[in-house]
Amino acid sequence: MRKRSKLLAVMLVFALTVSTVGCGNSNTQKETAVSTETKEKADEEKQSAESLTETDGEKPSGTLTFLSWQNETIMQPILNGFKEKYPDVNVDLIYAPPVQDYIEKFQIMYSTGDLPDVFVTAAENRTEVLDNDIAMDISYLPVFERMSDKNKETYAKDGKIYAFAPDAWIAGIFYNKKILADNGIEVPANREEYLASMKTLKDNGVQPWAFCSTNLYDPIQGYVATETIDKNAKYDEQVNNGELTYADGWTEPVNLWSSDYLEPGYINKDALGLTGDQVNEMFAFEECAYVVGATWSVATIDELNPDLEYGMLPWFGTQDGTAWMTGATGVGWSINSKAKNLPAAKAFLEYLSSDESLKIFQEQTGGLLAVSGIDFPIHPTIEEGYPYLLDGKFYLPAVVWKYSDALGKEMLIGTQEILTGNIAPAQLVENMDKKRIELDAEQ
Amino acid sequence: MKRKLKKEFPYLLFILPAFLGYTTFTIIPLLSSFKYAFTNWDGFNRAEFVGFKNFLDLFGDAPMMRALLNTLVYAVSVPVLVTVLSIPLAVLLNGKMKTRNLQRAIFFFPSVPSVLILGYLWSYMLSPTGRGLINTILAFFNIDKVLWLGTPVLAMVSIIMVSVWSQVGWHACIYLANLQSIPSSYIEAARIDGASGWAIFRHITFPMLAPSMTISVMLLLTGSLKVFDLPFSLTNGGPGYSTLMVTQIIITRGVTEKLYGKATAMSVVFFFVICICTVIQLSLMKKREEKLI
Repeated sequence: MRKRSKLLAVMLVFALTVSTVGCGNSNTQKETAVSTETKEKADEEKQSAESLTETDGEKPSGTLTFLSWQNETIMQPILNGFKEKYPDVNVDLIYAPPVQDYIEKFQIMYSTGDLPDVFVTAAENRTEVLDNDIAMDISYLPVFERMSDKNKETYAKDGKIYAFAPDAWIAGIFYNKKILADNGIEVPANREEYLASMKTLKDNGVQPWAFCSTNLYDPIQGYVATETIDKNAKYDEQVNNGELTYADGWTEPVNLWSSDYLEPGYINKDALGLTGDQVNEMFAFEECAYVVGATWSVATIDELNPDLEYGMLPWFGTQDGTAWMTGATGVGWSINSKAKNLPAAKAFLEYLSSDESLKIFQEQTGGLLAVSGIDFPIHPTIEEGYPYLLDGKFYLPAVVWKYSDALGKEMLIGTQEILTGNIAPAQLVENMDKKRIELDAEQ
Repeated sequence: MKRKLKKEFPYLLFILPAFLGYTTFTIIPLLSSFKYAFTNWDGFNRAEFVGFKNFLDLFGDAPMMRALLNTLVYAVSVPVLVTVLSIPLAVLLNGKMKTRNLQRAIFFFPSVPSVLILGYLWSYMLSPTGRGLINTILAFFNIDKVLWLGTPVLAMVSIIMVSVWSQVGWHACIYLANLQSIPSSYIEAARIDGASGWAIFRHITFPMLAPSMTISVMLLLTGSLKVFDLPFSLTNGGPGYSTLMVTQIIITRGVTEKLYGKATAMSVVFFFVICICTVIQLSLMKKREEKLI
């Protein structure tokens, strides 16, 4: 018994000694590391005095949570760059694929109080973010001085910017150069030439267009831009305020869509059984002359048919010289106004807005940067539409709509219902106004 | 009582983790749904009590009524068709063919992949383009292309067809297991008495399949009422509202339109619809089973 207690005592003393030495060693190591790092960091701190001010003088450290809709493959090189600059910060990336999955995840995390420190604000959650003070004002970021006004305005309210959106995207009409040339058609420069080209193609037995069940309304959006927004840039704002209705700005575009696409049969019931992928395949394999194309479609089309020669046209308006692209500012990164790790979140946004990070981001996404002073390659097809982006001649109603998801769904289903003959074109606009009034009443 | 509890305590401990998980992820959200159904919660702002407004609004919601009708059409068609096809298939697979194991595997296979994948796959097969397999076959026989997913009625038919195709093999396996438990002496005795194959099936095999039919139909009925993934991947509820199901509109009203109060009211009503349908089906089919004894 005595022997056992002696043995226990010896073991206890040994354990305590080892643990004390261990502590001492680790402390010494930490001190040495700190002393060597201090000099290096002092220089960095001097250089980024402004940055430290913005991070409230606190050195960023700990875990930063980040809800991203770009996957890890895209974000990892940026996270690596950030890690190099801020080794004490670990970024916990939570990926939710766009759009619906991300929005659902965002809403669930917000409603349960688990919204990460940094998150993505998109057209679909913009209103919620701005109206509920979910994000903090980041207007102080120097990058905004070099950014296009349209990009800044997208996520701004009362002169304050709540998301940093570095790029924009455009969509329009992709045309097959060979099919047009084979049918003796010059690249259309206005609506008359464009409508004539479709007629010639149809008369020659060539399928002019391939639409899918989810993009039937793209030409309507184009006409809303050319016929309504071109004349009144504040139209959507006025609809949101209740000063105007969709009947005021959408009736003519829907009628034009009906007369230009439905009646001649360029949009027909075939579209209801087609998906976006199938339509891209049809265009890539030269089964149609025109297709709705966006900045992100070129990679798929090039992969399907690397030899395809195709260009990009805008949506032409009834007035000569009026042409717009579909498009919007890309998604933006926001800081949670209740961020648990605010210094790290601010440091992360500063890094994301740096030229180094933006170059990586552009390489990874192929997006069109709206920040001046950074050179990046543009696909030759997209280059034809790029001037419209620079001129701010791009429009996407979902970005400015008060109830973008609900109205988008109403428009999608409405166009399908028109095609199946269940409703008349005028009913679509009526339904959109009804839905808006119904949702207003629920607020 | 104490002794009984003491005896059963270790077993209760075993089910505790499952009970906690079930309570957290099913019971609590279900009870919360009942609470939110009486509010105007939009997912962001504080919920206010609105009484029965959400429930009354349901009847004026035309897409909701359409979704309910679509779901009922689907929930009646799929169980009937799967049952009608899977019982003869099970009898066939119970035969003494050399390739029966291979055939069982082939028929069972469509139930293995995710329904979402099957939906995307079939959207290609039903495509109206030159790459659509079904229309290519029809064209081979000089038949005009059919807009399977482009016409409201055919879109619903296509969804039912794909659903039946993917489930027949699996439900045939349920009946197959039951068939193998029917004593061969019954069939042998009937044969000696001169009964035909059809008479044996009608008077012995089919009634003896009652227990598996109860389970199979219940699974099909509840699964069909709750269907989401196949219509979502094949038609996304379209064209228009023609294949929109209740589960889809609940998500649209809740997540897309942020009318969580309305969406949960729909969920509550639908919960009771499923309960009533299942109870009626079970009680009717249990009575049929009791007649066997």
